[in-house]
Amino acid sequence: MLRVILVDDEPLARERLRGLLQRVDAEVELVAEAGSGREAIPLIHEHRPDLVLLDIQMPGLDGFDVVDLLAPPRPHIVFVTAFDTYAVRAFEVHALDYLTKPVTLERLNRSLARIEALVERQASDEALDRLEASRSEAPLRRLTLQMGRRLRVTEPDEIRYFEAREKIVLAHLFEGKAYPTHFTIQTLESRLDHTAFLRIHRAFLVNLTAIRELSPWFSGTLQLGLDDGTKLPISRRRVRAVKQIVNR
Amino acid sequence: MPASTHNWLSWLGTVCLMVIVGALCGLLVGWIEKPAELQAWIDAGAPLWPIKLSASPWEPMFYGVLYSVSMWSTMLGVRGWAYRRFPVLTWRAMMVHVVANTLMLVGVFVGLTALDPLICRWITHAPYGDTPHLGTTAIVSFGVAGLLTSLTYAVDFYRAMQKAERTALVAELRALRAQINPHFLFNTLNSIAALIHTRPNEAEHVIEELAELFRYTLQASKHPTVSLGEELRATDRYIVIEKTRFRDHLVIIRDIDQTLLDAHVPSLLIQPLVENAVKHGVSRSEDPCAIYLEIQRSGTEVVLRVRDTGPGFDGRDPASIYKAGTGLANVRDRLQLHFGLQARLEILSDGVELHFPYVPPGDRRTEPMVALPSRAEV
Repeated sequence: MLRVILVDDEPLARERLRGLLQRVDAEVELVAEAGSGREAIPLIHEHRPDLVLLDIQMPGLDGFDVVDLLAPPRPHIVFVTAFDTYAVRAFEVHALDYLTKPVTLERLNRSLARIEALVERQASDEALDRLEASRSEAPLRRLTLQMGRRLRVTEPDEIRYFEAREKIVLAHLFEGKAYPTHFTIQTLESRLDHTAFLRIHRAFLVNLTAIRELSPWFSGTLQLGLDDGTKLPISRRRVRAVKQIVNR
Repeated sequence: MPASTHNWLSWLGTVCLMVIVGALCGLLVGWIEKPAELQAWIDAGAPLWPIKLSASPWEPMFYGVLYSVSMWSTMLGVRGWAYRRFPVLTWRAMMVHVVANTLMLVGVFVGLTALDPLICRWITHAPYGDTPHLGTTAIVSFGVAGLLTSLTYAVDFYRAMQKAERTALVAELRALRAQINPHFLFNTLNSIAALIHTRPNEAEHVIEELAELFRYTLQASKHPTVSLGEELRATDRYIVIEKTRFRDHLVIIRDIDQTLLDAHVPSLLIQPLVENAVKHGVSRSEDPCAIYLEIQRSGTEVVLRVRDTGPGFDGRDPASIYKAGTGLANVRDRLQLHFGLQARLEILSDGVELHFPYVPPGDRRTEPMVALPSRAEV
């Protein structure tokens, strides 16, 4: 039994796929439907489906953004597209499985059979791994935070600073609370907007809008004061870079 | 070669041409009226400068050049002034050009002739009234200037026709491409596939609207001018189809002055604007997006606005918007070809605004002189 989640912003497109899923050869269970990428991420996290049928062109978070934000373990994904030269090129480059609209029963059957085989062998989808690897440089426009058992999609500008602790990275929000995210601090530093976040320490990545003051600390080092009174240490080798940006 | 140099050279060329044509006219008249004197001049071994202007054949040549240059410059001035204000595509514009040219040319002719006693005294040194061929020279160069004016206008007209035909074809091509744009077409087909089992009536309706929209677009270059009402009907078909896809996500709010529906407009004027709003507004916003379609009268003008509550143009530079393949450049070009400088397209922060004169039907003066041929028929 394949557990499936449908993601498409157009109600009729979901209706079409829902109808087809009732007629496919494979045994499938439709566990949830999402009308946007933002809705899809917590649902995928919650239901842990085997397969996500994911539309590429959606406002806000598109299909690729959703792949970026999914926390591991990741489900299998079959992309659905009406036609988008850019997306199709990405699919072809990474030999990804994708369905074109209007989706045909025959084509859907073939994809489901392939996914069933992968699930049975518990094999990972190498093509999808390649896509993820290729996106390691692409900018992150949103983030996912773990709020208890739920995942929440957040705008980067809601975050005051990130803190790396032991094995997790905590995002401290302006609203005061802190939640873990599955991204590493290295990933965040390289993929978030460089004009918005500044790495001041091995363990800290700070939103520039939160920075208030630089003050001396012991033995010639400096510390950074934030808008809420938090003081964060600055690595010795990053002092110059921080000064340059703060004084600008 | 830089454009300015090119312009300058073309001006120089035109002036040379004026002088040569004028001189030839004068020479011709001189030849006909005073063959003996001319012959004497040639027999004398073509004496060089300085020579008294009163001596034949300089006198007629001088008059020829004077009249030719004045007439021709006047005509070029009139044409330059009226060229973009009244594109030579409609009978009314043609009348404006003919009347303006005639008035100005007659004015200059009369003026020059009135100054003739002075010209006689100061330049040719001939006693006034002792220049029997003056009238002939003037009339011949006037005629030649007129002939060349007509020729220039024929070329203008031909070029304008070509340009109008080209932009009409580009508009049709763009609209067709947008409709068989895989994204639009496949999404629409996908909607129909979804509807066909559950809501066959709605599926049928969408197919009909799609067919009519295609038909309208295919005929656009054959009917370059339509009524505002027809254009709105086609736009509504497009909206019905997109509404099937986007459902409540797309809200259309119309504020249309119904007394303007009979206005003449170039075809495929509104639908590309709404399509832009859908492409860049509705399909890019997570929340429901409203498109406002407003058509109002402002004095003798029609003001047509298409705005949306999507992300907007973000104060982008208009040149980059025109270049970005939004189809706005084509809408602007066709508007100006149709109405000249009386029409304009403005880019707002959240949409586009068109201004153009209200032209009611039956106004034959503003109908195109020649129906543009359609390549589709060939």
